[in-house]
Amino acid sequence: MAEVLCPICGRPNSDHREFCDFCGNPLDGALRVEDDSSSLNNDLLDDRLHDSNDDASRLDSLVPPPEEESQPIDLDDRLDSELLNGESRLESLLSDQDKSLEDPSQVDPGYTEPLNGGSRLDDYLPIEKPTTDLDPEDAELDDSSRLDEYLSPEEPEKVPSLDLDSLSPDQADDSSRLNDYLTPDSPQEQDDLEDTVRIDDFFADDPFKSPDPFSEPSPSTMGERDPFADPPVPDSEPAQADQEPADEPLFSRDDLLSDSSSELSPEESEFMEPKPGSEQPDDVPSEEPVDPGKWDFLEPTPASEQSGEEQPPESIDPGQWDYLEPSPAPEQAGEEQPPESIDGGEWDFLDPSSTAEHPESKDPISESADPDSTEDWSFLDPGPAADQPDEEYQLSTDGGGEDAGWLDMLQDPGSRRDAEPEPDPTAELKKPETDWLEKIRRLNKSSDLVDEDSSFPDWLSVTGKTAEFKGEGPEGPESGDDVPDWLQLDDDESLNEFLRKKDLTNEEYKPKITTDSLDEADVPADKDAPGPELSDSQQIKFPSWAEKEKRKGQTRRDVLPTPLADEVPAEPEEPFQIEEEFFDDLFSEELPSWLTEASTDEVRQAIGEDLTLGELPGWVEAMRPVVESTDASGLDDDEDYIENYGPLAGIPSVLPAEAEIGIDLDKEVKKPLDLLATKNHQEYVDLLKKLIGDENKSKSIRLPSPLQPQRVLRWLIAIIMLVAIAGTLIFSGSVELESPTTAQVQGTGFGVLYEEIETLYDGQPVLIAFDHQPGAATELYTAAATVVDHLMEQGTFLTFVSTQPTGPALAEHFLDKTQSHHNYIHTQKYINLGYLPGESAGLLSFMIAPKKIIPLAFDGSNAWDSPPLISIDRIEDFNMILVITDDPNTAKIWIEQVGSRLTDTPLTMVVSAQVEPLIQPYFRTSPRQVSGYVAGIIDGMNYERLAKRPYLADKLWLPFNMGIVISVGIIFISGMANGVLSLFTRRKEKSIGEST
Amino acid sequence: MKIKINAPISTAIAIGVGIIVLAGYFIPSMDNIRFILLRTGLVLAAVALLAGIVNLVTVHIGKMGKESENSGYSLILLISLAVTLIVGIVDMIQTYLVGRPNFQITNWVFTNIQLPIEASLLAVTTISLTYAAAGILRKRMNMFSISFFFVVLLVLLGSFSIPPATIPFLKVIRDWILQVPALGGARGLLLGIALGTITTGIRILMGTDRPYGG
Repeated sequence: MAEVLCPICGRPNSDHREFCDFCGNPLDGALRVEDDSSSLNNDLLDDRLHDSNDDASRLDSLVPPPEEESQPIDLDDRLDSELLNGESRLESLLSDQDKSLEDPSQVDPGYTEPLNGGSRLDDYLPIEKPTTDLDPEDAELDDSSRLDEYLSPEEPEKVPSLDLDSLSPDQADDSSRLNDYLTPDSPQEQDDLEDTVRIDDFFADDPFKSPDPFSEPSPSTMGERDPFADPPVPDSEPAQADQEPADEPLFSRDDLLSDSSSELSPEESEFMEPKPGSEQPDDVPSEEPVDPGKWDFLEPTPASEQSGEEQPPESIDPGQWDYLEPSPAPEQAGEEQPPESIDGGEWDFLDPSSTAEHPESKDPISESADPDSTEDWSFLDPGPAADQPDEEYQLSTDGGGEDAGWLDMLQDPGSRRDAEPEPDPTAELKKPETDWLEKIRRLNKSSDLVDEDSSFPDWLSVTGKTAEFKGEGPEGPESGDDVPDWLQLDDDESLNEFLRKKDLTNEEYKPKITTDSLDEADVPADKDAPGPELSDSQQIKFPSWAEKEKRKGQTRRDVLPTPLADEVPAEPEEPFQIEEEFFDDLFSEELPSWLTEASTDEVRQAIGEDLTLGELPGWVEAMRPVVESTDASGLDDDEDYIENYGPLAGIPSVLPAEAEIGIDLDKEVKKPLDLLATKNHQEYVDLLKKLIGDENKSKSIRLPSPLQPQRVLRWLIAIIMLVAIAGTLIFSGSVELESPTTAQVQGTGFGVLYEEIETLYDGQPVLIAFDHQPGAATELYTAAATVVDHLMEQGTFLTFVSTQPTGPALAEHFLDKTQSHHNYIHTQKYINLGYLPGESAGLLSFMIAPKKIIPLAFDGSNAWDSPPLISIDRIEDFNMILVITDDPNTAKIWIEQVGSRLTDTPLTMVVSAQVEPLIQPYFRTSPRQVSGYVAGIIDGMNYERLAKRPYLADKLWLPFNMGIVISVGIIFISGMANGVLSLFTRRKEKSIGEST
Repeated sequence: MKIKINAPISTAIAIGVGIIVLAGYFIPSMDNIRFILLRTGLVLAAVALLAGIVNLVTVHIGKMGKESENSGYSLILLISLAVTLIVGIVDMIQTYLVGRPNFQITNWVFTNIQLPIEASLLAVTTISLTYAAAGILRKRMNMFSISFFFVVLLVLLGSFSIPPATIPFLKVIRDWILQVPALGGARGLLLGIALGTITTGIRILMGTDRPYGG
């Protein structure tokens, strides 16, 4: 009947079970094994459980946990079951110590790497990342943390503590030696009780994980399978260890006690000491006498058996066990030795080849009882190891690859590759084989569904690929009893746990290990499986087997099963191809890369750096929901739009950034427009229709009546003014006005003009410009008549010129109408030069050369032949210039073009009343640009009054004033009436607007 | 592409003549050159008057042919032009050939036709201005219109000067208005005109403004 291995706990269950009877997890994808294999597996596990309770558990407890998950897993290395036979390898370790002293390789400093037991053991630990280049210190820390992960933080009290009292004398000796090693300077190093406590603290202390399950070991749990209940190590081993060359400090006490912290606090020292509770209980039969000096947590029982035979005592460098260190030895930090300084020869017992050379070492228990093997544990003596680091280093290099053994397999792939090319042929004979490994092989062989490339580790391969690679066949241990308990898988759970973790790696943490899924395709998946998650100590549950043991109050620490299970997912890269590198690294002088180079964080960072910024990872890219278009247009029938560019490419139903082109408007129009019009909507529609209809309606406009008020008012104004002015002209006479006073004349325009004319005398030429329109003739005639008359009275010679075409005629008309009484004859008293074209230019020319510009008079006569004009060459030669104009612009031109060139000749003007404001600025300046002026009828009247010649102004003064009065009256009355009406109209409109 | 050849020539002539005439104000030795240019200008202005008469006749002959309602006015204008021209020619013949003085027929036409017509038009303007002043408050009732309204009244009343009804205060107000606000406004107006004239002259001299075309 087939059984199903639980992917979680690894325990066998009946094939009809859907959930694990032990852990309750579903058995989907679990490994199904046949009866034979299962039985073999069970036997194997049973053997391991029975045989490894003493040794393996202790080593397990010392194996640093999860950080080493990052180390690469070389499952090929594990194909050799001998590698797992720590029993034989420990034996070889202990037995070959003497040989390692003599081995030239031990002296070689560069021959230390393969003997890094810690690294080799790490191979069996869960590997989180391929941290082949870990810093030694980090590696040590990782070792500690890994160890902690296998410890149950929930039940620390169940961790057995060492009870030195219960130990045999030999064990007590070993214990004391260990205590010396751990706390060399402690004054209580002879106190067994405190030593026990220190040991407990040693297990308990873990700076990377707290609480440490071993921090408070329960004495009861230490009884059954106390790792310190192993056969005692001969006392000679420490002595031999002390005699080891000091220049090869393979592992110093610091290595053993080393941890992340640099100093060892008293608590830590105490923790390093075994507690009484850690005594081996009596119920656990100790097949070998427990050496007090070897009772320690290292429990090198198998090694101790062979220590006297194969392993030189000095080869067991404390540094070899640094992987067992949960915490560093701060006080000896300076003496820490690199792990690679382990003498390979010292670890021949771990090397299958070395164990093969000593088949008798298959029984680790019996061999551990060898007194000689006790010398191997002399490295626990801290004194010489600490005081002679160089010697230790030399010794560590003497180990060679013979006793690398199982630790080689525990080493990182790189170091194993380094060590691989130099396999010791003699080590083949020393390869230990255990029954449980043989059972595993048989299990694999019996299970046809499992092949080499399955999730099973290589060391479980049925084909013995690794063995062939190493040139030897796998040889298991003679019996399960020979397997050291610290190397044995305690039960089926360990193997299952390993398989489960590997399957987790293969299938990305989805354990579906079935016989069908175990194919070659799963192997490469390990490379892609991320390791950090499994390396997290918090995510790794305490194995059931550990909990079970702790419940039993044992100090056994199953190192191998859990690390094997944990390191599988942590090494996805090269689990099966690192043999050469392994051995190269093994025999290299330098520290193993996983200890010297980047730490776990650095590796993580390096991995992160490999990622290109801004690029989506492949797995994310694969998750993007890309829709393949079915037609050439890229649009499916049920899809409106599929993005073609940018990060949203391939995603359907994306709002397009650009306007869609080519919309079929006809098709759009055909779409029915369904409107849900409510009553309110309908009311609004009706109102809108009504408003539009009212706008279209035409409004009747009444025609204006022919008798409008404005028109009537206009006619009324005209009639009133005509009647009033006409009546005044017809029926009224002259108005007697008083002569203006001197004060009224001084400073006025007409007064200055009067004075200027008074200065003229007979015959002086006076230029008079008639530049006005015929319409202003009446006003200007009235204003200029007295002035011209005054000039004629003065006897001046008048010269008329005009810039207006009508000017010459006006001049003749003026003389005829106003100055006829003077009997002025043309060319005798005056001359009319006629029209001067060119306006300003004509004036300028006439100013420069009047004779040349107008050579002839109005009637064609020679204008300049008259006596007053003979001396005239320039305009300045006239004695006075009088401009009669009703145009401000004409007056300005005369002022600007002619007046500016006049020096002694006065420029006077007779202008219309409308021009007066524009003339005043030229008059009211100094010097005056206009010497005097008469503006309008008013100044004409004033000039007549001044000249005492009543003339036209006097005649027109009353009608003129009547017209002013009427005009003022009309403007005022009409204006006020219109203003009032306007106010009423606005108010009415405003009221209407407000009402509407 | 049509190239106006006369444009740069006319512009160059205008600018050159303007610069010479302007320089004549400041350089006495250039008066002769300036005078020649100005005299040429006077002849061209007289010819332009004849050109204007020809243009007026052409336009109104055109209007007469369109049978519009205003064609009669154009006919009257053309007849008047012809009569005046004939009268003038006759007067010139009599004046220069016969020896009758001063264009008597032309003076009669001017005195009996043109002068009363234009005087009447100015008188109608008086009535129109009165009517406009009376209706200003009806059309626009604001501060400016009211000010304008009362200023007109004050100036008119200030102009009223009949001894028994003369109001000296109003005459003072009128004189103050004419000599202060009106004078100020006129000065500003003249300054503005002067600045505008200078600017226009500079533009013409620089060729920027070409009222002569081109």
